[in-house]
Amino acid sequence: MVRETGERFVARARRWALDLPPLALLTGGFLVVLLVSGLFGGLREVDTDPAGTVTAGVPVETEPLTVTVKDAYWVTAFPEAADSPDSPDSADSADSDRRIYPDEPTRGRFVVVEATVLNTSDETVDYDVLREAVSLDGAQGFVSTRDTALVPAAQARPTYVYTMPEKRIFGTAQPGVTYTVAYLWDQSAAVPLPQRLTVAVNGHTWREDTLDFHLGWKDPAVEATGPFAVPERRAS
Amino acid sequence: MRLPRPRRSTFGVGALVVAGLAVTQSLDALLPSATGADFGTGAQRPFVREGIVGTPIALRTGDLTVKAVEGATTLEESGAYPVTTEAVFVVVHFTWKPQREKGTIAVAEVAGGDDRVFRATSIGSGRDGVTCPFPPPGVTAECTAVVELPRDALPGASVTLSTNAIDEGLDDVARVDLGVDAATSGSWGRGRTATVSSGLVGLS
Repeated sequence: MVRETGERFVARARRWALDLPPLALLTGGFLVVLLVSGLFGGLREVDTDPAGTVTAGVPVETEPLTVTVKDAYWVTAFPEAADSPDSPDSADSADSDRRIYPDEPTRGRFVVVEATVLNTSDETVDYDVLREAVSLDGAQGFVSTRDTALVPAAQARPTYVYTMPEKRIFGTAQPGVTYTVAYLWDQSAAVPLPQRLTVAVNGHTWREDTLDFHLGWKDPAVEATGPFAVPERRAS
Repeated sequence: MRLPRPRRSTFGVGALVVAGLAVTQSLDALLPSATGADFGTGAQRPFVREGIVGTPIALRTGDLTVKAVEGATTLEESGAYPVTTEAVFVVVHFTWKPQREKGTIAVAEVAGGDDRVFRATSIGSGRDGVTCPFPPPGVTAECTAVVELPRDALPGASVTLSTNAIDEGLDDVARVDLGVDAATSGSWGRGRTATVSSGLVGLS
């Protein structure tokens, strides 16, 4: 008997819903989404702030990093002047293990962006976030870390991120410390570089992971972009 | 439809369930919270073994002795290009002897006097980090931990060393005070060079 009542109720509700005008249905659906999402803290706010501008030497303040892009260029080996007589260790040639060995790009060209990075948060920021802080756009033929095929610049992650001049891996950024760094993207030399390449600075959001509930910097989003001429730099 | 008449024992069970829930609730309020906390905090916080320079600190899985804590602005390491900083490197020289299993010290974390946390691990080869071998039980390793931090975090700061790379919760960690106050923080280690060294004692 309970089942029969239920079926009759469903049938009546269906007829009622189908008889409604489409506008009322849309409004009703919208209200349901609003009310249900309200129970779980509301829909997430969409960041509608326009992206800022990246200019050489001007700091871009994002969370958790303040990034100042200094220079952009391309090389066939990094660092390009590893054995130049200016290097502080060339006088001490006996200690040859202290020289900096250059990296060779796998497809002929490294696009390099030099920057300073300051961690303005209260905790150490790790490699994943540091690596996503600077990205490129507006060029093709980049080597992807996931894919064997070449990808557009916007999808490419830097192959290496080094602190300079000692060329260590930029694996941690401690709070309140400014680092001089170089981001290296591996690009095919067969693909021409455009006159100007877009350099983007990305910010992150501090939130709980939806799977393991640990807090972290997530969701990289473009905070500022700017066009940069990318000339070749040779060892002098 | 008629509901069955409850028996007296049903009330007893109900009361027990409610009492159990109430006890759990009050225990939850009383004990350190595990919810909403990250690794190694709240109810999962580590057991901190405070120590001083030169005296062994007994941890669950081995013995750790901090030999020296120094400040430096240049860091030298065999086979690597020297690193300099505008801030300061906190350099901790220590020995580590695991007891029953192979083990190492994987994390050095400086709690700044201003509530900032500076963490360096044995993973990667960045400017700072923990350089420590992985000795078998009973063999002593010489290790160096380096944490780069701004000078304003130095007064009142302490360094914590842990054997667990990801989650130090519910385990022993060793803590030593850096011994820097506001008066000395400006000059601590300025212009000095520290050497990162590691190895096994008695095996070379």
